[in-house]
Amino acid sequence: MQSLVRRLVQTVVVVLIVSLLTVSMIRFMDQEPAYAILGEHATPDQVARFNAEAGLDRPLLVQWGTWLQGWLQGDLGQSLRTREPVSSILMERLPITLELAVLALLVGLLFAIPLGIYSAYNAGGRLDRIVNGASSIAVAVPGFVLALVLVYFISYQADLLPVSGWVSFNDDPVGHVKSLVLPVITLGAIEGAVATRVLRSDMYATLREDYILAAKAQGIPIHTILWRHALRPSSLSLLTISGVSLGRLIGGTVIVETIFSLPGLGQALVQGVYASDIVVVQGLTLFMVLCVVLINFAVDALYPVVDPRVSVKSH
Amino acid sequence: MSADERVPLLEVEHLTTRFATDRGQLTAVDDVSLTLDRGEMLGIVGESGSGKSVLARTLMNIAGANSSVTPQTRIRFEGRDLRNLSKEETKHFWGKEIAMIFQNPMTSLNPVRQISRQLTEPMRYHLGLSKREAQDRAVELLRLVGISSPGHRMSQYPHQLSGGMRQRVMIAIALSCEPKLLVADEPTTALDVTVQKQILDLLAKLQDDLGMAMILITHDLGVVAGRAHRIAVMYAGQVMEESTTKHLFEATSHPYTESLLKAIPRLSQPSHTRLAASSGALPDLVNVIDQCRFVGRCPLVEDICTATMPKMASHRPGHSVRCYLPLTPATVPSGTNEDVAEPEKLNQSDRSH
Amino acid sequence: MVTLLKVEDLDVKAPRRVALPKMPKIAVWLAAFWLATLLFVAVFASWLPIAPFDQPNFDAARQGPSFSLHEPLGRDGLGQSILSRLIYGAQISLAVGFLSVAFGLVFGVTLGIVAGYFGGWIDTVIGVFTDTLLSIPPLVLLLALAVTLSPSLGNLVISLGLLGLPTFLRIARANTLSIAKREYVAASAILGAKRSRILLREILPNVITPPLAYSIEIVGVFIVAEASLSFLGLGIPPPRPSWGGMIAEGMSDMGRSVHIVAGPVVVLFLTVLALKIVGDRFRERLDVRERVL
Repeated sequence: MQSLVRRLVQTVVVVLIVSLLTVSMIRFMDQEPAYAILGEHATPDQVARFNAEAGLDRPLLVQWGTWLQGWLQGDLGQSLRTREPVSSILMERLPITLELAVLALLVGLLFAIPLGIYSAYNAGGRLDRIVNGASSIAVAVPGFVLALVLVYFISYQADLLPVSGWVSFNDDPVGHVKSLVLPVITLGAIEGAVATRVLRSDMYATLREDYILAAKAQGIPIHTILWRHALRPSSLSLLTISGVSLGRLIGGTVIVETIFSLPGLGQALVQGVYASDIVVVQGLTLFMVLCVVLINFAVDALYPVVDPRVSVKSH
Repeated sequence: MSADERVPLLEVEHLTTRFATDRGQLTAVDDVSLTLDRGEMLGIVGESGSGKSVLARTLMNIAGANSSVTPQTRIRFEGRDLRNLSKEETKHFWGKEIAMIFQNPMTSLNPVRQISRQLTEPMRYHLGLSKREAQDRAVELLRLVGISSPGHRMSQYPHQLSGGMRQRVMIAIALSCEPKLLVADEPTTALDVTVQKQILDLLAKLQDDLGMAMILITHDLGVVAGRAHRIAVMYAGQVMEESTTKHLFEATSHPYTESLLKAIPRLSQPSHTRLAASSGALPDLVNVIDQCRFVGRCPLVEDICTATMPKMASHRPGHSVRCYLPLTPATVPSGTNEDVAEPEKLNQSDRSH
Repeated sequence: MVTLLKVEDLDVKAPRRVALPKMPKIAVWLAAFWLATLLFVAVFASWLPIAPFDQPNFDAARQGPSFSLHEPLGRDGLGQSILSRLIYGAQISLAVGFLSVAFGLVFGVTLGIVAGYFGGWIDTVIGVFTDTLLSIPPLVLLLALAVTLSPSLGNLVISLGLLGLPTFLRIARANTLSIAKREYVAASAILGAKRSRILLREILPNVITPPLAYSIEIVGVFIVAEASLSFLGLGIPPPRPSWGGMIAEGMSDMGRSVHIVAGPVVVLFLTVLALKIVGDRFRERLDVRERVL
């Protein structure tokens, strides 16, 4: 219990520091956002008014305090460019990114779990060599290389799926699914490859444990042993990796969203960067950090569920 | 053993197990033949590397993916040829007809599964019991092996139990489908001395009560001394001597067996008595030389011993030995141990406790 | 006298070696060859008989690859030589890759050693710093820094360096903690050696090896990160070509002139793959030597 509280305190400290850093970003900027948004020929008056409206002229700590206060009330600031509340940008775009990230992780695991299990069982054999080779390459491939390769062959050449563009589920369910297939495969393949390697490694060690031999001596069929006896003890690393993957996915869909023109958080962030819209960048950054932190917390909480020997403290 | 028309429970003939290794084929078990009747306990004694565990695993069909047995190997259980079981028979043979318990109770139970799951699984699979039925029977089994508050234990995890209790759980699992034969591979080696006796007594009692045959594998001759009907002594993959317990102690025939006997510490010896230790290493089991495997450590080696490998020969009814020069009372060698066994002393009762 | 075996003694497990299938030797040689070639053409680009990277030729726009020596990889949308742009782009990618790894390595290992050796509040502060960096998703961190800092080589190196710093730091810190406990370090202290001497002579050589082992692979990761930034237009600004920028440009023409995007895509892929292969082998070699120590 004590260490759980300590973890919580650590987390809060980290979040506060990140918020402070993002608020102070503006001090390091070469060009003030005012000029970026109003144009280079803005008059000092216009600039001053702009800054006052956006609260950019107040001392750093005051800015920070106000901002944090706003966060607690659900007010994440307003876009400097469009005056749109950041919170509504979030509401609008979060579901898309979330759907993408979660689907990618699930698809990745869907392949990773059986492949990891059977290549460990078949260690050194043909399946193992193939899976190892394929996952090595998949891990080395940069996300957008894979995306472009897929788009070229499947969309341009075979014309099976749209090149880009997002369709809402409500408008056209089938179109919605179609627009997500390639992005999900792109993201899922890489995370899946990492998960496969991690699981194979742990599975290989687990299959050499005495209790697996004992289960075989009891006549339990091999597939039951693989899925019901060996999978769970081998899942700790998988759980960690899944958490890391999900965090990485939430923050890392930027490239894929750009290539496939999906209106998610990543795209919003990039657009904020282009426009030097510091408020949007701050808000989205802190939000994503919060997601990562929460996911890590959840992963830690799940460890004892997967392996009863692990108490929350010992990790 | 009186002349019996019944088919022996287990007949092993010329069992040879080899492993594919980097250096070539390693012969871990060489030409082992054994017989076991219902309700009998056979003790297999040997040091590490003697092949006793591999023998057990071969019988249980879990010797490993890179293992193979020779075509001459014959294993018959109740007359059935174990190497030619049908697929259906194979599914419900091991774990049901023959069960095994392992050496290290700390690692032989799945750490992430509850005791109840591990205990009920074989019963549900082999006997088709429902969840409820299996659980009831599991509680009974826990009581049978001497675990207190069995209902409470069912929902616990292995790490919450002591080593002795875990071994009892292992025994309960092994007995759950009422096997006719229990193979126990060093079941007490990893336990405290006080617990060892409890477990061994438990096994003997269960064997009596259930009429189960048992193969007890150990490196400690003392463990099987008062309990087994017959004992086979293994060295470097071969059986060196095989007989009833009484004859093994009273008419020890193989020099290796003799050295094992000398190594048993006894309360009657002065506390500073040095134990007889054999010198020399195990022979190479990959590039096998055609000679007696014990020549490296035998104090009585003669030319014939290095000429060809001796075969198992029965020099007395019910007593076989693999040696050209089996010991007789007159030829027992004197070792480094002060407490040398005088020929006359061989017949004294303190040998067969 | 017989010693009783403790249960714990029997619990010792064999090391968890993963027994993965091994990478064929030919792959490592090919990878090394590719990297050497890339390095060579990048360094000697100005002396090579290739077109300048920013010479548009609108008549020959989107010319496909030919197997002759003249523009073997074709031209892009503006008629510029893809081959040249790839080579000059390599300069950026390799420079950024290696420099940022160096940055992350130097600062990460230093801070890691400091945190591990001195412990106490220093360790806590450094720990908080690391946790903070790690809680920001990588690309988000890069983007946030991109909005703040102007796009120059130096700033890129710092951004990427910060990204890799926590990893090196943690490895170095963990190793420092385990080595600082060992006898020869204590012996050194007893003999009166100054702290700095201990740090330099005893700790540093042993601690530097594991992070160094990963560094080659990390170069690949950073090259991808740089390419991602340039793809988004946030890397080194034009006219300097970069692989990521070339991919972004060529993406719209994928239907009819796929070679424009294929060039940088293939080169990027091969480079990252080669770095991974060589990095793996490098790591294996270093591991073996470490165990001998």
